[in-house]
Amino acid sequence: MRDIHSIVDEHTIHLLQLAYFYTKSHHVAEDLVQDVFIKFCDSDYEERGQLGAYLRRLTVNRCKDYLKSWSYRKIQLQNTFISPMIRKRDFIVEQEERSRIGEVVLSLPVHYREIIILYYFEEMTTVQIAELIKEPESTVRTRLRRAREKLKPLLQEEWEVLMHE
Amino acid sequence: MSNMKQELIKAAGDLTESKKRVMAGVESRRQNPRKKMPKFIPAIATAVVILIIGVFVGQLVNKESAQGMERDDILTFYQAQIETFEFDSLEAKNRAMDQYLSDVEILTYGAAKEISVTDAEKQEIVDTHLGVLPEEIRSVLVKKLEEKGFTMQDYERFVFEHIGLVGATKKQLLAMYQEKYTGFDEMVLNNLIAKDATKYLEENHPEKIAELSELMGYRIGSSIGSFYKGVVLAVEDHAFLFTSGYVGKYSNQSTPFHNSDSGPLHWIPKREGWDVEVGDRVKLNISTSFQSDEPQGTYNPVAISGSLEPITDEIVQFNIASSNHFDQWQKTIDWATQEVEFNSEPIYRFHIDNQTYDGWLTPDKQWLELYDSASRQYAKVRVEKFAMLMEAMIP
Repeated sequence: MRDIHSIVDEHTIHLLQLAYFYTKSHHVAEDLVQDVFIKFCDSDYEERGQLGAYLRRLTVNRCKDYLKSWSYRKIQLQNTFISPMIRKRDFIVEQEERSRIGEVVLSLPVHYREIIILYYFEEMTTVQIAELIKEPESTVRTRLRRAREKLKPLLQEEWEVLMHE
Repeated sequence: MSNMKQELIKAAGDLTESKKRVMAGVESRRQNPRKKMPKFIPAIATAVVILIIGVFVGQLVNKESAQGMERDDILTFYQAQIETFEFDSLEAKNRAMDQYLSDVEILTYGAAKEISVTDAEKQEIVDTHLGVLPEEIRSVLVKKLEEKGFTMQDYERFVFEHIGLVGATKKQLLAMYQEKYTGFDEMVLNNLIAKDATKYLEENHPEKIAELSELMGYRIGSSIGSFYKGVVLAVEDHAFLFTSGYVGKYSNQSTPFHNSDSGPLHWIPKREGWDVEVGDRVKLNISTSFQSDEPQGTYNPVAISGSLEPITDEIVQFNIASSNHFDQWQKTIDWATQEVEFNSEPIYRFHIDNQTYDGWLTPDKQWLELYDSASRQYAKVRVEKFAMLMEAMIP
């Protein structure tokens, strides 16, 4: 197997992006991606040219576990009383970094956001997505359609550009 | 690469520093795997410990703590304690809940580590806790306790039985961690203990997690966002667009707003008997759910309860304050009579009815970000559209 250092070097940015789209937190994304690599090191993975897909699967599963976790729910509770000024500051920083389209996609509920991310960012087919998230392909197609329906009125003119690419 | 993919990559931001941290973290964890790994415990011993802890947590979470403090009383004492320091009732309730959940985690983790606490150790914590209480704070606390039907003696018992127990457990855990991780700051170790305690409860007590989640959802759901007052901006067959705070008539059927899950604008599904028109001012009773899979950092009205009520009160105040600093409001101007200059990144504060909204411009000066301090949510409005709406509202 390749040197772990070169694997981490090659895949980290992509996995961080993927984890961020799920969790919407850079800090959490870092923790989760780190966990993924540690799990990968402990696994008996055999290289068959599918390393990227394997790491993606580990990352998606880890993110979904996190979103269901007690830690995440506790953070949600803390967010109900966190200082408005702190949130305002974080919000400004986040807004400066985000694109409008990205912001709208990130505002989608996770079951729609996930499909958009896997379809457009990971460039997976609906069949591949269905296999990854263990849902029927028809469900994936329905979610993709509904996610697009949700995005269309929010993106207005940008939507036309995206759909004609 | 598709436009959408490019936009998503932009949304994730620059991750160069994150990458460095991940690489360093992976390297560190590979070189020192045992440092952060849970200590190995044989399977039979684990089963026995879990059984004992299960009984313990069952007592603590279901009815009473091991020392006889009832859960609701613990929450009420914490709330009184937090309110004493000028937090409002709602915030105090949430902070009390957070504190209680952390206590359950620490006590469970402490039990797993076979920690036992003596009365002398608890008394030491009590002396520290009560010994630093200034008289003026004490008198406020007494008042808060009385409002909730308790006396100072009841509170002292709470401090001994609960805070003392948690504090002494934490102290012993810290000593264990200091022995294990030499050379680390106390604060770092306390954070590590808190993280490990959360992880322990999560991994070993799914049934209690479910129970605490239910308690948390019920408490928060019944306390947060009990209502929003606002105006109907658009009406569709099965839903209407509602925003809290904006008042007056607005006749444009199409919404100029960016309707984000994180903003104070919401498409609300209609219910039977909810006949609304554009421009109606209504009070919307909402409840929230912690079971939602909504994104982190937002708090959305995912479930609606109660009724939709018409509101008849008029605008009592409407003005804008502008400042370059959060804490120093330099001037107050009337939107209706004075043009606001959008420069040097000022922050605009709006007072509508008795609610306050803070707004600031995006760097391109095309959008106004609005912060609703009542619901603690955000909206993004095009400056030109916002001006149109304001003109329509001001007589």
